Amino acid sequence: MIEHAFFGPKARFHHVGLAVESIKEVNPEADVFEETTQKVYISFMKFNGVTMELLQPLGESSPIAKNLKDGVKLLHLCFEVPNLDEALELSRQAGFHRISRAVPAPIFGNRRIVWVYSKQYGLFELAEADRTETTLREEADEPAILEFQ
Amino acid sequence: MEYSEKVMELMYRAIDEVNLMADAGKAIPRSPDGVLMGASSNVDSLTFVNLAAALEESIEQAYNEKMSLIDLIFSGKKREWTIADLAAAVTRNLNHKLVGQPLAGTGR
Repeated sequence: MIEHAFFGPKARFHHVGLAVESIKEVNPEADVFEETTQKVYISFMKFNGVTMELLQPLGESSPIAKNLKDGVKLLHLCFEVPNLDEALELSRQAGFHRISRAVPAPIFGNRRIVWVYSKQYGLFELAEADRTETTLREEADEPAILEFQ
Repeated sequence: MEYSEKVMELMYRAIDEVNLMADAGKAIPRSPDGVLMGASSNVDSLTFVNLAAALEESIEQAYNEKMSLIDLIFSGKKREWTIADLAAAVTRNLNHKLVGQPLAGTGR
């Protein structure tokens, strides 16, 4: 298998975005956030170890309402990157097009996010990693003990 | 509103590419007055995103210039964008980038 580092070698998978009719129906105990700019209700949940972002339409003009109407539920993959601008430059070389401005996202503690789209691979969200978090994760990824084959 | 005929040609080529994949009744209008974005537009967000990607690639191939249509649209502060509006904005941006290399042929 060939590995492609579309968003840079330090990009880490973060979550899958799923469209749902009702977040509370999926997860009655969910904390639901209202994101008026994107016209969605958002909630995160873990599913077999994978983080899912549940997106419920906020009103009929929400783009998510159209996705649901068209039967499209798997919306995007999100990757966390240490440097958004570098990731954007790399992604463009791989055929991704930026389709939004990089904006702070309240749900990610005001870290910047941006949307990119590839005709071949579809919609991706890039979220700038909290630097401390990235550093900690890199340290955690380093083998703590010697590995033997 | 003035646009390069060559840019409009690229625009139509991108529209044709996207319309090949569009569902019936959801094709992008192929005329300068066709509305791409705004209250009276029938173009959905996915179709528009596909058009933007196709057009950015065409511009890059034709002029060797990377352009962000999203930035152009945000900087325009217009609520409604026709095909001619977008072609004019692309033409202005290319004229700005390719100083001393005026684009051939203008429309409107």
